[in-house]
Amino acid sequence: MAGFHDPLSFGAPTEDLEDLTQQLDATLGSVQPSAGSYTLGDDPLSSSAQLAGPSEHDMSYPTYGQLVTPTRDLQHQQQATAAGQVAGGSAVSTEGPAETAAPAVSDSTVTDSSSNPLDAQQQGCQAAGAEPHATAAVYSAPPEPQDSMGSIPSPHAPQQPSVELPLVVSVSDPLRREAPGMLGMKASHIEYLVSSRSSLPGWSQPEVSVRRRFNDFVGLAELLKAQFRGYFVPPRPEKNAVEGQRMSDAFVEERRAGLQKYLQRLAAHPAIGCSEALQVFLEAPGDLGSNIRWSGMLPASASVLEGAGKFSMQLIGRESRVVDPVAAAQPAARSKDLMRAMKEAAQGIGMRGGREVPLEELDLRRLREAAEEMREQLSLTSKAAEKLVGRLDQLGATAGDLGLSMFKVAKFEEAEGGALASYTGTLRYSSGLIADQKRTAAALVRISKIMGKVTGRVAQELGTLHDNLAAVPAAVRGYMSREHQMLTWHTLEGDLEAKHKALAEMDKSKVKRVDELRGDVARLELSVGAARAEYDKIKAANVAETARFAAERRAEYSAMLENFTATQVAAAERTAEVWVQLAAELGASPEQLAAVRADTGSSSDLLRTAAQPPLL
Amino acid sequence: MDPLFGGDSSNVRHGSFSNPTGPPPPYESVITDSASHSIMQAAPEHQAAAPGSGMQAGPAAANGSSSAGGGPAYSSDFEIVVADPVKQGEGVSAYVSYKVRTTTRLPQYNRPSCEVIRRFRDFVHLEGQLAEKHKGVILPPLPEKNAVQKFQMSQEFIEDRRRALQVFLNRVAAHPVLAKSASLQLFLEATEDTWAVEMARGQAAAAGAAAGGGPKKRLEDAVGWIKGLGAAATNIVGSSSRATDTAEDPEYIKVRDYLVALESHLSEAHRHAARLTAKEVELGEATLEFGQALERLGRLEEGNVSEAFSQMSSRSAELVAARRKGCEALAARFEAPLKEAVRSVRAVTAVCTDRALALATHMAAKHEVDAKKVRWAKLRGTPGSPQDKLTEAEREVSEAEERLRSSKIAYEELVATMTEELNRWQKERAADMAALLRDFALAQASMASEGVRAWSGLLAELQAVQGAAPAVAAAPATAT
Repeated sequence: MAGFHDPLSFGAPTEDLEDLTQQLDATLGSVQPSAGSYTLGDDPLSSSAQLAGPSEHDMSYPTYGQLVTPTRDLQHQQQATAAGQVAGGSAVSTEGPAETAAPAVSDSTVTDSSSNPLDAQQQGCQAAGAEPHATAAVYSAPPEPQDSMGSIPSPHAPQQPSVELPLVVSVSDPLRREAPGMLGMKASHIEYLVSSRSSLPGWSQPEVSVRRRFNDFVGLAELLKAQFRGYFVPPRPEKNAVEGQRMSDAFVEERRAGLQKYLQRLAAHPAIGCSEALQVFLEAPGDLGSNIRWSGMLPASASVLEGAGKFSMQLIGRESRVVDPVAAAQPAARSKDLMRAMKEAAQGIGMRGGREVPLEELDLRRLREAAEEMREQLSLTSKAAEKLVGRLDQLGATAGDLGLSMFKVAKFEEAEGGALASYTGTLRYSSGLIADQKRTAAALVRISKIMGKVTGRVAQELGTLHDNLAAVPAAVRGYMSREHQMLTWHTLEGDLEAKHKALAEMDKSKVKRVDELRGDVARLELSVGAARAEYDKIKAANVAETARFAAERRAEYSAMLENFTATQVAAAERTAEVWVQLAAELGASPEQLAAVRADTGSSSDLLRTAAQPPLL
Repeated sequence: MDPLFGGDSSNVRHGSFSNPTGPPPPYESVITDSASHSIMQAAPEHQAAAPGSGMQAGPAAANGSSSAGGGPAYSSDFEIVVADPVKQGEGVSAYVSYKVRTTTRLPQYNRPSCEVIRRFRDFVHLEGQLAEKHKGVILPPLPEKNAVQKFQMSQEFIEDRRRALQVFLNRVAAHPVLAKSASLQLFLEATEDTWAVEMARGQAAAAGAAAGGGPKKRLEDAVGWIKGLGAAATNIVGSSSRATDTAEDPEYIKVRDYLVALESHLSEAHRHAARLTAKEVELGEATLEFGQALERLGRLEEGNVSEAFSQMSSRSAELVAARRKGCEALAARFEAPLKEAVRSVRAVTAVCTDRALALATHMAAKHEVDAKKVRWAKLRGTPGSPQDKLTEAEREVSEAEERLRSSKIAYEELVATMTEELNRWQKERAADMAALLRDFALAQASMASEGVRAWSGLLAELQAVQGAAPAVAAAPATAT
């Protein structure tokens, strides 16, 4: 491979062969090649057994991460990439809030803005984004591993990795904790070390580490979902754990990587990255559940029972039927106001033909439909990608099988073939035969190793598809919350009109009744204002998030495709190199070699000019 | 398209059966190529001893190699082409006929070139004749008689068989002994009528042998004698081998056991080779599907992404088409010859069986002599035995002794031939294996280089697209 510095050159061919001979000698006795579980050194990427196993417990979407058992090398890789992601994300965050932080709120209507800390936070975010922070340089990115991928290009990283990061998060050091559980049984769970480095205002210290368990992440996700209506909140890792498997090292490591990626995505989000919820989650010492700031943010836990009680009171007219302004800015489902939920449902049905829907709203609805269509296609593409990864893996494994069985033939000839050779006086031919077979076997095993690495790398790269597939439901949810809020708003407006009408028709002599109605009208006017303000805020978030999601997605797609292609180029070069070398060893003529040799000159230039130098 | 294997391999595969002719396979060139191999350099005399090597190349190599001017160290006296497979008849009795075109410089042939029509079972008959008349010679393997595939008569199956039959005939014609065989000449020259008579004669002979008498009878006696020793009748080869092992050369026993084990090792390797080709094809399919899915996904996006995904899709389609050809080359140059190598070992073990039977015949003859002698002695020891009975017994003894002598000679000749053949076979096998492994490496290298070209072409396109839109290139990549 002309001009490539290749740290993972497989050594001089002869050494390689000897190495292999020893390795295979050691394994020949025990390994059944037909079982497909050959052992090739200690490279975990090339073992088909490991690759095949975990993909079984895949639940809703194919998860490429499960296909590749993480290794230390991979962790480094992920961290490096993740750091890059944060850097990239912050590039958006400097622009994002400018759009999102301008909800059309008339100040008189929002009575309780503290329940939603977004506005203040967004200001802070902007400030942080604008301020230079020398300390926030890329700190979590360790040097690229020297031996993990050979000349296969590493994932695409943004072009300016030195962009200052306001918030960098890592998850590490899973620790098993036992706590008394139900029925006197001990329940154990895993706690992860969540370390953050922040230059955001409001943080008590620039570096902090806390212990969090998976349930805390679930709580965080719930909280963010409630606080960031209209935003496409990055999805947290699935729970999908089979009991019993939950404590396995592979599972814990996979979950750790998933949680880290989750937090990094949150940190990179223009609005969520500087939210109080995330800050408290990352900062609050000790048990999160007993933290006052945390529990203060949790939505008031109105039970369904309470809602039902309210409903019956409303029916008999003892409870106010007027939605208060705080509740008007909440989704109906959360407020547990069953009467309101029913009304809104009725309004939803009526709206189809009735009330005129603004053009902008129609556009946003089309976007939601487009997102749903995209989910379909992403799902198909993701499955196709999974199939591709599987086939790559199988091809690599089969090359390994063939190499191993070729080696067995050679070993057999070596051990037993002497009988024929000495009987017929053809020892020289035998040794030539054995050497040829061993060379071919060695080449096949090298191919198998390369394929294994390619499989791992491709799985990682195509993970982009799966990540985006997982992100689409959050987008749909974001759009839906706007539609729901519009229902709330319009329902309240309908109520208000009805009250106005009732007031106009009322006999003015019934002073007490009139006063009551006037009170209702005044409260409803406030509520309508609040609902409308909330709607406008969600809409603004929708618009900004649509742009952000599309830009990030397209950038990811482009990077994915380029990385995928660069990987294929490098893999094809490596394999061509191995085969040409083998053909030369087996006595192919220069003409034959010239005919099959790839012109690597132009492709190596391409790889060099790739966004990230793909070769170490 | 494929400068490596000659220009017309795809033509041959894709059904232009009418024209696989052209110049004969340049065996010399293949041999000359292999001379640059280290083993070959160590043993240049090998070239004369392994005429069959490189025959896998078949007619496809016809227009190919450039190094034919290297001074042929050996050239076959024949050039044989099997062509024009035509399906005859319908239903269960359907079969495929082939034209067998021969050019030869041997004087005993009526004309320097001739063409006959033969079907698969004619080849089987030829093989049987050669085996019977040239005991101890390791015959080139015929393709397997595959009833299921024959019934389906797929074009691929017919073409594979055509190629294998051609390889078979050329290997026979290149064999130092078989080349001069009258059976071969009859097969290559005889008109359809003459050949029909030969086939009928062969069937009659088989029927006659079954009816009793002749050399076959004695062979069956030998088998019966072996069975008499208590061996299971199910596996004559195994039991006859075991029964005669004590009388065999222990060195030879080792060789034979090695060959039997070798066959299973090689067939395992062949199984993986077949799987490898299949997996290559499957990967191609998956790549194609992935490209198409990406293209559809790209249609939901705007601008560069959409363009990039559609480039990826069309490029991967090109690549997969090229790969498909590569896989065909792989199947023809690597998998099929490897299978032939397995069958070739099987041909040797068939000779081992003949040898065991010859030895068993010899031992049975010895047993018979002893029995006759005992009877004769008993008669002589009995006073008043009629003279005619004594004479009869004595005659039987000398007849048995004659059979003992001839069976000894038959066995020894077979052993001598086989020893020579094993030497030839081993050298040829080394050369064949080197050639097929080399072809394998070249076919793989060619496919991989195709991949480099296709993927780096795509990469260049992608980078051009990115270059046109720096805003997107600089945008964040938040996913792995």
